[in-house]
Amino acid sequence: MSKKILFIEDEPDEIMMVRERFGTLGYEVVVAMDGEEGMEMFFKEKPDLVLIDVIIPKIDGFVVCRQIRQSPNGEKIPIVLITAAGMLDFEEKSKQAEADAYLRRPYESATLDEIVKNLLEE
Amino acid sequence: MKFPLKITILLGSIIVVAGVGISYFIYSFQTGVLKKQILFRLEEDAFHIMDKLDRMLFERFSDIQVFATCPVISSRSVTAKQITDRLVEYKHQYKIYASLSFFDSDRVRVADTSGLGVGQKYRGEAPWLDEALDKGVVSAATYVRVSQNLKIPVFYFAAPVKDDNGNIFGAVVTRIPVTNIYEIAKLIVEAFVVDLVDKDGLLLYSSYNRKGIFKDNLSDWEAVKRSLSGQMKGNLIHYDEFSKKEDIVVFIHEAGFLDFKGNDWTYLVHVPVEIAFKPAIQLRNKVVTVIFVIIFLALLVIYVLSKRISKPIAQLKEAAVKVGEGRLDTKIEVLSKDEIGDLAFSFNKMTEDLKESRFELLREKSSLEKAKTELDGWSKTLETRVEERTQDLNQSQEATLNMLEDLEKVRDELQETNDHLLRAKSEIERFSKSMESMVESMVEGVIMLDEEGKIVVFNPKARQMLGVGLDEEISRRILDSTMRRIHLLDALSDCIKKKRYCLKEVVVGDNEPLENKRFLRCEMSPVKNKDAAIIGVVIVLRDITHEKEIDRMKTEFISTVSHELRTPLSILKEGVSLVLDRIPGQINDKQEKLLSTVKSNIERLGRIINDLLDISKMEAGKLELKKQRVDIVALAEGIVASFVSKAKEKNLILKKAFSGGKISIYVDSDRIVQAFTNLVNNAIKFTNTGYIEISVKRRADGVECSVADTGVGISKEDIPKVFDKFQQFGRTAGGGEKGTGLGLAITKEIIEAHKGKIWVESQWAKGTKFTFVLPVFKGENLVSEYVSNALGAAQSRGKEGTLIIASVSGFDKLKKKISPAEKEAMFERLKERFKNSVRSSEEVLRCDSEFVVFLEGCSKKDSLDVRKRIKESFRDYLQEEKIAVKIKLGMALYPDDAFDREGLISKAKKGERLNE
Repeated sequence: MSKKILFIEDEPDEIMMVRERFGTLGYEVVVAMDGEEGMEMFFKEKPDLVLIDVIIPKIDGFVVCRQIRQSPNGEKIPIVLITAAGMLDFEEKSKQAEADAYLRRPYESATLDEIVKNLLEE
Repeated sequence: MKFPLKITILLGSIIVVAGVGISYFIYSFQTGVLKKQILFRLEEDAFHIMDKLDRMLFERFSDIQVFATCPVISSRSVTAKQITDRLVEYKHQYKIYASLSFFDSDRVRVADTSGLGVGQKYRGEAPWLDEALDKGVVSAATYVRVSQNLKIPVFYFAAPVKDDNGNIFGAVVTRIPVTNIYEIAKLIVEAFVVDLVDKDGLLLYSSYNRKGIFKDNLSDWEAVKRSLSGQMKGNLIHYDEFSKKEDIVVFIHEAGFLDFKGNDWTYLVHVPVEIAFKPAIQLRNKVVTVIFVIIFLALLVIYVLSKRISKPIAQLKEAAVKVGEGRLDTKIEVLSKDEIGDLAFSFNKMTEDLKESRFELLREKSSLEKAKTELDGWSKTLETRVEERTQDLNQSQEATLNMLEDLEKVRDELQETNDHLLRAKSEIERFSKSMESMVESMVEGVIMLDEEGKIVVFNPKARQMLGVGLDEEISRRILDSTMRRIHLLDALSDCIKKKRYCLKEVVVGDNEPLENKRFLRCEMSPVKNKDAAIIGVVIVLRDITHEKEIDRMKTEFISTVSHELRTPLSILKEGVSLVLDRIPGQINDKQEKLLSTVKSNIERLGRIINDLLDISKMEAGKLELKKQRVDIVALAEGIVASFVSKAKEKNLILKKAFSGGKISIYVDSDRIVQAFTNLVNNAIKFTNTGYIEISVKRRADGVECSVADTGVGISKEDIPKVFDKFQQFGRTAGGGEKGTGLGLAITKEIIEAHKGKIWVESQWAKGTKFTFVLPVFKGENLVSEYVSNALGAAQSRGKEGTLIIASVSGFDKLKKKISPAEKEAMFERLKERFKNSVRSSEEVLRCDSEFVVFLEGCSKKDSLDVRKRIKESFRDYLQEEKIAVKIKLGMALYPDDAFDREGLISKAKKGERLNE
């Protein structure tokens, strides 16, 4: 059974890239384009890992992360936060939201691969 | 004389007079009545006695007529013996008679019960007999004589004896001893002094003048006769020689009884006035006594009452005295509802008014005094000059010319001084006017308070900024409430009370949308005069809404740009990586080569964007340094390690020159790494052979780091421009990353942001050495630096915060000494506990034996919770480890406890001891 990744992102090209990458690597990628949809998808699709761009419409990524953590199945699910913004306290905010990993864009694709792989293997 | 006394005397006199008058009137009336009654009684008594006498005489009067008409007696043909016998019978029957006799018409005693003088003619005067025989008059006790043969005073009764034809042929005479009559009449019994007198005043009986009976006349007979003058009774007051007292004499004229007409006797009773009028006198005494008692009581009551009445008046007087002394708080209790109560009420009101006027006057006075002080200064100068001059006058004995001259000088100087004063005054006015105009038209809002806290200046701009109308009356109260609304009141009070400078940024219009908010920068500072005495507070308000807006825009811009640039870049990179990683499919070598170039340029672009963003942040002053204690030596070691491979590639030697041990500095670790890395990168890039030496040395007040190389160097002309933006020297076609032209500019910004300095020494073709110095903060300075940074950040974001300092001491007093390593370990564990209790991502500073943290945005309640947690955690630790070190924990709230760094630190250091 292939692992399911929920990718919450509003930039379509990004979605394509990630789909292309992880899809080929053997993961199932489901996508939500805003925070609200993201929550819905989380409950509907029950993914194995959630990848969130923190700058998204409706509900921002940090809040989504916290909400997932507070939901019944969300305590242990691996969550990775990504940002392109020059946020100074990205690390801190990610820790506060209880994310498992955080990454700044542009990142080295290999880095993301490794993080995802390690998180899904645990 | 005292008022109560006056009243008492006045009312008392009235009462006394009235009382006496009334009582006298009553008394005399009563007495009159009483006297009349007594007299009446006496007269009655006297009358009764007289009446009794008369009745008795009447009986005898009747008797003798009975005798005279007895058949035996009245018969001409009876013998003397028969008459005698009959008379004797009568004598036995009527035991009262001393004797009964019968006389014929020749006055021969025919019969006599006593047997005396029978057959003899009556010798001497016997009017009774004559009247009876001649006139046929019946007499009863009309005459009284001492009997010739009986030898005692007797009353004579006589009645004619008539024969059948009515001719008188004889008379019956009876004799009754006077005493018998008196006894019968009971004249002798009474204690009173009584007299019985006949029609001429001859004493027939007298209880006191027995010798005078039948001899004397009554002493006052004339007066009595006058007084009687035809009446039956009367009375008079008579002074009696015998008893030497006044008597009331009551006299009754004989009234007779039935047929008996009486003898015209008068009966008198003497009663001493004092006995007669005893009741009256008793009454009088009683009345007098009662009157006196009543008067006395009345006086007492009046006195007390008048005292009561005058009390409020006395109170009034005292209150007036107090008010006169200046005690305007005096109030009188208004107890009564009468005019005096009104007076008290008006009095109170008057003092209230006085008090108010006095306050007004005092205020006037103080402002006048201020004006006066100014002029006093000048007049003192005047005085001094005048004094000087007069002294000169006194000293010199010289001619009057000098005196006059001097006087003239004085006058001139007075004139000058006066001119000075006038000029000064007009200058002051001019100056004051120009100040006013300046203040009125200033761009900043200015508010000034004097030393009493009253508003002296409040310019239109200030009104506008605080939302106070241009014409609205400004009072301290309104200012305070406006300040409170924008959360400035505490700052203001602090500035006034502690006399220190304060800077705060506030928002006007908390609840309004962003467009309507105004940001004000408020600077308050005490105003001192040239003697450094504080004479007020000045508040300067600047509207920084625009600046804030620009600032906000800058932040947003940088953030947005950063995001907008990086997003497509990220996609580019991912896309290229995808292909290079052969995810969509295989690629040939040429494609790989081309795409690798693309990728590396994408990365270059990424670096340029990062640098650009960095430099914009730094220029916008938005670069935030996350300072922490860092061992610069270790950091440098890390840098060196990271460049080992790169150096090896170019066959360059990496040299280290680190002064021994740790050098702890308080810096943003990442940024210093960035700076260092930059320098080393450059060094490697521009050096082809030789070495790169990285050194870290301790200096007096800081740490000196340098990166030296044996590279191409920089020309003299270029050295000044070396830190400029987009300067790239020697576009060497060497390996390594292509620079951005911003590296050194950023490095310089970083070093200078840490209050350090950076410079370059270089010689063309010989080598280059970049050196930077960073300050080292130790101990107090470190804490100070930390708090300064944290406070600055909080202030710029308009947030509150809490400074917490925990200090550990008492190591030297421990019973069981611990090694330095153990001590360090303990500090580490304590720091952990501290951090856990704080539960914030804020960096905790450990400085020597203190732990310091500033929690930005922490509310008072949360701060207390944090402190509690730290306290408990430390306590637990001390108990567990059983170490007797002393721990002190203190907390200072910004801005509640203090506004500035020193204030916060000093408060936070005053902690409470944890153990004990």
